[in-house]
Amino acid sequence: MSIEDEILNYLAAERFPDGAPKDLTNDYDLIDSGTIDSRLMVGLIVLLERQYSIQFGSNDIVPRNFRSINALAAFVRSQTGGQ
Amino acid sequence: MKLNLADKFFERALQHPDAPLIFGPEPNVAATYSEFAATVRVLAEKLIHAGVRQGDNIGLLYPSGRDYIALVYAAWTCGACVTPLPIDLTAHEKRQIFQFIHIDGVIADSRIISHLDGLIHPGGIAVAGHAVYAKGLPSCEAPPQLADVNAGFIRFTSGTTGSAKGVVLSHESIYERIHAANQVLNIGPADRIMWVLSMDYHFTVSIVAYMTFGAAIVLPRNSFGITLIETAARHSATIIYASPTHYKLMVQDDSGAALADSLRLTIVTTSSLKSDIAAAFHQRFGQVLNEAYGIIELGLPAINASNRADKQGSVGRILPDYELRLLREPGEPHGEITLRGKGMLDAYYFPWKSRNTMLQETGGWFRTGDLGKLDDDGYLYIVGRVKEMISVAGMKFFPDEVESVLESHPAIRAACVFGMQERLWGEACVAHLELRDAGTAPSEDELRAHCKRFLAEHKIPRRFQVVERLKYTASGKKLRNAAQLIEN
Repeated sequence: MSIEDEILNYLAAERFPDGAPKDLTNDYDLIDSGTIDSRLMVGLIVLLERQYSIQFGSNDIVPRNFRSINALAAFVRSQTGGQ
Repeated sequence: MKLNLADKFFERALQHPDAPLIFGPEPNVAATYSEFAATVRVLAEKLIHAGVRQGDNIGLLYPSGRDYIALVYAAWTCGACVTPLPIDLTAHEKRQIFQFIHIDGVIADSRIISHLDGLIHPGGIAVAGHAVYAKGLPSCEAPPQLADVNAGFIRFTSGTTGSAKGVVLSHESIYERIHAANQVLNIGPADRIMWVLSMDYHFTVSIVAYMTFGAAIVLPRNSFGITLIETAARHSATIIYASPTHYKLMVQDDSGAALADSLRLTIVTTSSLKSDIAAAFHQRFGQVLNEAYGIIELGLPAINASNRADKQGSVGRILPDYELRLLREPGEPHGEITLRGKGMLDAYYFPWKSRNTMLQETGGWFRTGDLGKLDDDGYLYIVGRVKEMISVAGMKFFPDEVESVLESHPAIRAACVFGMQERLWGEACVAHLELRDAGTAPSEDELRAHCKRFLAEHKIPRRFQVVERLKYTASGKKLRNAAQLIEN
């Protein structure tokens, strides 16, 4: 499963259990739309750290890395050497 | 007439109807005391129509936020007691709560109510927004002594002190605690408190205090450092109530944004504060972080509101309504913290143990299990937090629970789980494993999958390490001290 799909599945299960918005694409703005709240932030970090053996430093937890599914996936790739 | 905290809120709303109560989390959304009181009354009516009765114990499965607060107060308005069903727990863990705590009905977010399948009647009644009410299916019986307590909250714990499960707090105890804490916090109508923690774990000496003393609550949209700083500034927050992680995120923000000049207290709870975060916060924002000592059984018996940089690292002096006694071994500078004072828990729920019985057993003092020391000015320093409790991003749990899951795996003879300081989330959970057959170690993936069936994400060990033999103390208990385990 791609990193993007992993994140999408997590968001769908945790944030939109009764159906994700139709425009929830990899570019969907997760912050301005209010999709990411404090609880989901922690959940995403725990999931990605565990799944990809990376570690978020506190200066990585910034809006630009969480703006969209693509941004999160790009961050993960930058930490895993693009794997 | 029995005290009801909802009545105290309604009194406040009557006296100061136009005072702001909640800002956010959505931008430009706010509610005054009278608006929120009206919301609570409507919700209470709906709950009564749905079947909630005085004396019921209502499980609450709902995300933190304004609706959460309204639902708790609505349940109290009905004369019911509330037991949070923390949203981050797995279905297995939620089920465990029903095994020990009698739940008459549940208010849940309809989108996640399936977590409770088999525990409640299917087909809940819509109450408001996503909130639905469903009757509980027959489970365990409530202890008969519960009827003698004017219970407002039952907080399920997986065993703070041995096997006890569930801390029962009456309206009177909560009311005493918030007044005890307010001798130092001095919260009043001029205050705006920015709130970022989970309401499942923090509510009684915080949210209830704000609503009783006429303050406003500011809810940010998320926990990015920049969001927290900007939200506090936009709403002229006077107090921030957060975990060390949140303060670290604020420090790491590189936008140069400043906090509000109005800020007078930055309360830190949930886990011990590292000195580097405190120093960086002071340097960046010119504010000393105020550590507080929170114990579910007692409330907030110590708060360091001194704003003295030389007392950073202390949880402050013991509040006037509490007394402290350190149980010191001869020659030791520190000892176990024991306390007595106002607002102590009314009882442990299972097995039922009343406050009086408990205090008779311990000579009138509550033993916290924490180690502390005092300086010459009477400031208390926590040397070791609750001995074995693990706190990941402010979510606390005990190793026994994780160990029993690991030990249910066929390849594992015994497990020892402990917390290790980690740079961001406070502690990470680590597991040492003793195998049944040294040649057949399960993979980490397999162990994680096994844990995931029973445990919330934050409780799953980050590291698994196979050891030849677990270490035990002289008295035969598992040694769970990270420093000793890692050194050896």
